Amino acid sequence: MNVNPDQLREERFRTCLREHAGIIWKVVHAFRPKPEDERALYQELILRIWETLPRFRGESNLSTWMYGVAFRTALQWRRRESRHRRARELNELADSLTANTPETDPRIEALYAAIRRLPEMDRSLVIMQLDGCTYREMAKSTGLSESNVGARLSRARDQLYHLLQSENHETN
Amino acid sequence: MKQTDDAKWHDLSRLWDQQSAPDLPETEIESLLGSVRRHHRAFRRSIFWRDIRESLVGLLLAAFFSYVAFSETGYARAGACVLVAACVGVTVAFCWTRFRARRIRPAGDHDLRKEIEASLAEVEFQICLLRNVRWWYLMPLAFGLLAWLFGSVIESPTLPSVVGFVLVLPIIGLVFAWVERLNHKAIREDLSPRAESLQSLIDQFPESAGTDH
Repeated sequence: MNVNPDQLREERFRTCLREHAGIIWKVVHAFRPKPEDERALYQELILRIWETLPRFRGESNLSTWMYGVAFRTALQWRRRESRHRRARELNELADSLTANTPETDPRIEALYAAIRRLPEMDRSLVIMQLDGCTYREMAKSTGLSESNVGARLSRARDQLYHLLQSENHETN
Repeated sequence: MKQTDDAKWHDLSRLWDQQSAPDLPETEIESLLGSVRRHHRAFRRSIFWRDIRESLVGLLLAAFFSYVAFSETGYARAGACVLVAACVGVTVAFCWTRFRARRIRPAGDHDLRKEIEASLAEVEFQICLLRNVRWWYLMPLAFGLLAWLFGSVIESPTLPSVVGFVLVLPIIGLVFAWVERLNHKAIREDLSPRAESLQSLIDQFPESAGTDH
């Protein structure tokens, strides 16, 4: 039976939002340059997922694929371009997204602050590992080899502990 | 020491899992779907019409100067023919660059490194185009325009036509210099910093990436 590509795309998009909205939210929170950029980056991520869904061939899990799209969008996102390209974007889109932002625990906020201070690639790996992804999934999503993922993560984790520790010292 | 690291990581993971990521209700999902669908259609339409507009301007100019070529004689006709060829050439170059830019991006599920490399290739291609705008865009048009104006002056070498030709030369020069300057400004302020940031992202990947899996 032939599946209508538009229907398939819409169904996958629903799955992305229904089951993996957390990925988008976490990546936005870890990669936004400034708090006021959150809304625009959120919009951009949602739209990029929709635009690139036809390229998803099921070679990996939908969630792994979403991490990849979210990371590369966040890494390459520029405020000026977004404003230019999405100038006429419907406001309701961002409103509905930001309206659902939950209250954040200060400890989680501190963790995000530390993650934001890591190099971009390390940020991606740390988020994926915190979300329980395997080295294979991280390698697939980033293009690093599995052994490189391991080595990089080990360094990133050390740096993260160090950053959290120094933040704790500063607040105390 | 290893145990301590694992314990620390375990604590962080537990903390991470405690965060409640936003839960989108079904109605919100449907409204989002409608929004992105509308946006995507509008975006594709605007890209399509931009390409049509840019190609059409070149073809209209070519048609106009073809008409001029038919109504002129001698050197003026030859000059107008050069201008027609320049308009067609620039339009073809425009279409080719759009086609080429779309082909750079690979299809399928690609990893971060390949995507960033593709983005860098796109940006470098744009830089190359803008840096050489003088040769593929400005020079053919300027040469065609001058050939036509010069041919017209030779065909009717009156004082007003010679004076007009002399006066129009610096204006053409200034307009074309301004266009070139705008393109170089775009490279300096937009494309080069973008290429540098993409390159710095690629530099975060080790050379051997992807070789052992």
